Amino acid sequence: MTPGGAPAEALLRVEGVVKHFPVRSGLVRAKDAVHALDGVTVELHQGEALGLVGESGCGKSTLASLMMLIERPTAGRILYRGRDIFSFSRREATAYRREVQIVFQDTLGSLNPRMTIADIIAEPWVIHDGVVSKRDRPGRVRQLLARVGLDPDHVNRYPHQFSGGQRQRIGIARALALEPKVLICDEPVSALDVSVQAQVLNLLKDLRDDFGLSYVFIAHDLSVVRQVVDRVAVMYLGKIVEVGEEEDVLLRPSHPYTQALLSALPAPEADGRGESRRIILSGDLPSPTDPPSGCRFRTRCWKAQPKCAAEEPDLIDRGTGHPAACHFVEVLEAT
Amino acid sequence: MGEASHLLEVEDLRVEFRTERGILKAVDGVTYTVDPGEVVAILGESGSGKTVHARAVLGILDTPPAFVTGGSVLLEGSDLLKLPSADMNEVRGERIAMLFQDPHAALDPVFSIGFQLTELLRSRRGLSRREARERAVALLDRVGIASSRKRLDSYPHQLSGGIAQRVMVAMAIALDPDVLLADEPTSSLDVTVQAQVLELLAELIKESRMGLVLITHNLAVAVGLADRIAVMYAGRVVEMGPAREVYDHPVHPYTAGLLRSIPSLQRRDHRLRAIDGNPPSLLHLPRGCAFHPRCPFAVDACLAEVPPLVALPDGRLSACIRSEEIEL
Repeated sequence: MTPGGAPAEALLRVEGVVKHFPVRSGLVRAKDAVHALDGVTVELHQGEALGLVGESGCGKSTLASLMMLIERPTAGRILYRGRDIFSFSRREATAYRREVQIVFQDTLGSLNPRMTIADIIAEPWVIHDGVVSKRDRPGRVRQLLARVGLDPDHVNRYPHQFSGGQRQRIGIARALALEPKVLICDEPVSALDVSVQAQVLNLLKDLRDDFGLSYVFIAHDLSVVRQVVDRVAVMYLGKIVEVGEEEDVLLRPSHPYTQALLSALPAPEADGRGESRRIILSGDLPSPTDPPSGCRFRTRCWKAQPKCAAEEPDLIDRGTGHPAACHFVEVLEAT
Repeated sequence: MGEASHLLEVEDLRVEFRTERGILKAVDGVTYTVDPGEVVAILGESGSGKTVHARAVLGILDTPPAFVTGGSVLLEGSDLLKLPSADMNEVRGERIAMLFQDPHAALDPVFSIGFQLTELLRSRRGLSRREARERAVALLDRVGIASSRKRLDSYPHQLSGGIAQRVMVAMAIALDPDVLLADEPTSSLDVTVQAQVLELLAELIKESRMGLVLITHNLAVAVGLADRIAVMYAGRVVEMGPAREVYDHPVHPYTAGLLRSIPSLQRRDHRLRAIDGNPPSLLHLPRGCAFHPRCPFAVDACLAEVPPLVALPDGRLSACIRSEEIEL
């Protein structure tokens, strides 16, 4: 199904997923809903790293929580190896959770402060019995620590005794404990200092090769995303607006929102006080309870025409080489 | 001293935290000047002391545990650190204003933004209710908030991060301060909104001749807005110079390492060039140069003493004893 005749079955396929969160106002149960996701279709292939990018409120984290079976969709389905994860039995869901692990942004909040790191890393084995025998656990913990670049002799320390970068390594070690197939990385380096960020990105790159992992890499920093992913899906207000190979999307964006997003990056490469041809978007994100008709980006788009309000653009390839949801796509070569 | 005087002169500022586990020198001798209309960026990672330094300049440190232990902060010649706290309250907002990272934390959630703005103008400027309201509308217009009159009745939770930060900018400039201290003013905002707020700040500086101290961890933001950059590491300024030069030709190994570790959109690297190790704990600072354990150029002499920030032949400032001999 994929362009270019790539392998047909995706490892993880998000299919027409809609997620609305009902909003109550006052005493009456209102019919309003936050349209967190509104018909998202995207695939993750075996061994691939897929980037989900977009600003706050675009739905990227909601999509992650659906993939993690934390939320259920309002409509649509997510197929893992061809089977809908929301129709899994309890037993199947447990098996799925073992194969799809997550790395969080907040390294302090996601590690129990009262547990030693040995216990933190071994905890998944208590829940998923039979992965590593009790006898082998201490040795396996040490191996995992060494693999993520931490000193195995520190097994008895507590999370607060580590720096942010080291804690993220602990989080990664815990995610690897169950030998997952897919790692969902939700802003894994955005809380880290720049000098340490690069170390963790390098680690994620290495692990992917070593363990044959597939990544769903959620981040708002496009330069970071570029280093890790093979394909990128750009999201805006609950929809994917552009998707394709990382180079095509990030260097030759064709959707106006992607172009604005890239152009807004403070780029010291540009000359002088950033006075390059920047696209500065006017206005704010529209309310997700009442998204604009037609194209959702039209209220902030400099290309908007009457057609954009009347007709929602499909996410299709209009001759730019990859799909973009804009009636007036046009490739903009990045400098 | 007696040379050309500057708008703001921070001289050898020192702040320490006295904790149960020991004394921690969060700011250990920071010196810089700001002229009217100039933007000086203080660039550093967490624990570098950039924020503590700003709180010391503003006189809003939590004492204890934090104590200013030395130095001076001269605003047009008078030392703010010596002012009685009542006078300092006058100076804050009036002459030196601040802008924080999280606008929603800085705004009072129970009052409308119109109330918060007019209250400031009425108490500080003695304006009547009506005058204050008109002035508030003008300020919101100035910071680019659409339908400003209607907006006055909004409460902070009804505002997006970008609008809320614009309101904070309006409050910061309400009393025409001489200096604005902005601590990560755009770090909590989405990039498209960040670009808007940075543009607004650049405009305001250009037209008002206000001096701006921009505290940030983001080198690209610093280069985009600042005239000069001071790079901080472990409580000290390790490099200072014109923004563009610092970016193009860093003279301190830490700055060079920081620059190399920033992922670029233009380049997909097989491996990113990270700085080894982690930032040091201020409780257990390495001997000599605090950066030496992570520095690829470190030699024995780097452990001997804390290197002072000195001028190189070309006028750039560096706190590295090897700046002149190494190729960065």
